[in-house]
Amino acid sequence: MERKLKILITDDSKLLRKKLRTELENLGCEVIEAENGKEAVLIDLQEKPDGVFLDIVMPEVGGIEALQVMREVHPEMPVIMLSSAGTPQKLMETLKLGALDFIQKPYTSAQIKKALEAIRKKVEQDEQ
Amino acid sequence: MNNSPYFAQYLLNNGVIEADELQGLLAKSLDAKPTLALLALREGMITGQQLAEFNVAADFAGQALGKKLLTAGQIEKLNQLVPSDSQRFAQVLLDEGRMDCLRLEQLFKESDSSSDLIRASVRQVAGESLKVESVAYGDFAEIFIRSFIRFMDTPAVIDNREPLLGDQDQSHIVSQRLIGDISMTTGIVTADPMFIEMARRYSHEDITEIDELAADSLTEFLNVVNGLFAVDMARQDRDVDLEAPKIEANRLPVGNHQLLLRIHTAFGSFVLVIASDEFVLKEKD
Repeated sequence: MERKLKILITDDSKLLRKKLRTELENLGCEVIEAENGKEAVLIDLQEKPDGVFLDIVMPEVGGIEALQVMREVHPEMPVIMLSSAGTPQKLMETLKLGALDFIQKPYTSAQIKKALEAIRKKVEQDEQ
Repeated sequence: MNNSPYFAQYLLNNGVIEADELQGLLAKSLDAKPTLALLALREGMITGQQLAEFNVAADFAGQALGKKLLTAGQIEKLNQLVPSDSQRFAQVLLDEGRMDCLRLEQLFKESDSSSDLIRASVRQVAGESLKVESVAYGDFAEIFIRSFIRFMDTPAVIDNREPLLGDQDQSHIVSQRLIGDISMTTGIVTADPMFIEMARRYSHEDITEIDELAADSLTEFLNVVNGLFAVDMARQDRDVDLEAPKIEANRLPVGNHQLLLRIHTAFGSFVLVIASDEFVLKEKD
C-alpha cells in the first residue's frame, strides 16, 4: 500500500487552497496550508512535507523567494510551482532554482494528478 | 464552420443591434432553445434560401428528409449539438421577428469572416485620445473577453459607448498591476449583486455575499486573465510580471490613460478598467 503523502499548499487565495485541498485529499494526500511564502518556509521547517504546491504572486514573501529558502533547507524536496505567471522566463527561473514542474493557472485535475505522481516518484527515489 | 463566440459583438459593432437593447437580448438568450432549423443553418448544412421555402408550422426534420436536403445522420448530429451562446442569441433575434433566416445567414457569414471584433470595439471606445494605448489594451481585452466567456459561462459583449462610473450604490473594485516591458493596471468595477454572481460562477461555490471566498474568486479570475496576458506577451518577447491583486470597496479608480469598457453579460454588466499605471482609488461621492 502506498504511503500517504503530506502536501503543503501555498497560495494567498483561500479559494485556490480549498479547491486544491479537495483535489489532493481525493487523491489520498494529507494536506497542510500556508497563505504566503513566509508561512510556507516556517511550515516546511516544522512539518517537513513530502512535497509543495507553491504560488508565485503572493503578498509579503512571494513564491520565488520561498522556493530559494526551501531549496537551501530541503534541497531534495519536490516543489511544484502553480501560478498564473507562467511565462517562459518564470518557468526557466523556477526550474533553475530546482522546482520539479510548473503548472499554469487555471490548472486541470489531470495536471494535479500528474504532478502528484511526479512528487511520489521523487519521494520514493529519495527514500531508496 | 467558424462558430465565432462574438456574434452579438459583431451585431453591435455593425449597428444591427443597439447598445441599449443588448442587455435584454443577452438575458433572453440564456433560456433560448435554438431550433434544428437554426442549427442546420449555422452549421452550413442548409441555406437560408432553402429554409425560406419550409413550412414553419410543420416538422423541420421531416421536411428536410423529404426534400433530401439533410440525411438522418445529419439530423441526429444536430439533435446532439450543444447550442453555443451565439446560436442562442440568434434564436432570440428570430423569435422576436427581428430578422428572417436569409438575413441571419448573411450575418453569420459576415461575423465569421470578421476578425478582431474585440480590438475594433476597444479602438472605438478608446478614440483618438487613447490611440497608442489601445493596441495593448485591445490585446488584453481580447484575452479578458475570451476568458470571461469560458470561465463565467456567458456571452460577453463590449458596449460601444464609454461608461460612467459611480452609478451604483454599493460597488467593489478588484485590480492588479502588471509591470515590465508593458506596464498597466487592470480592474473590474462592479455593483455587489454582479460581483457575487461572477464570484459564484467562477468558483462554482455557493456564494451569497461578498466574503473572503467571493473576493478570492474574483481576484483569482483577474489574476488568471492577467497571467494569460503575460504569457501572450512573452510570445512577443515582452516580459511582464504581476503584482498581487487587490480589492477595495466603494472606491473609484483614477489612472493615467485610463480606458473604461462596459461589459454586458447574460446576467448583468460591469466595467473593465485599464490604465497605464497604478490606480489612485478615490472615495465615491
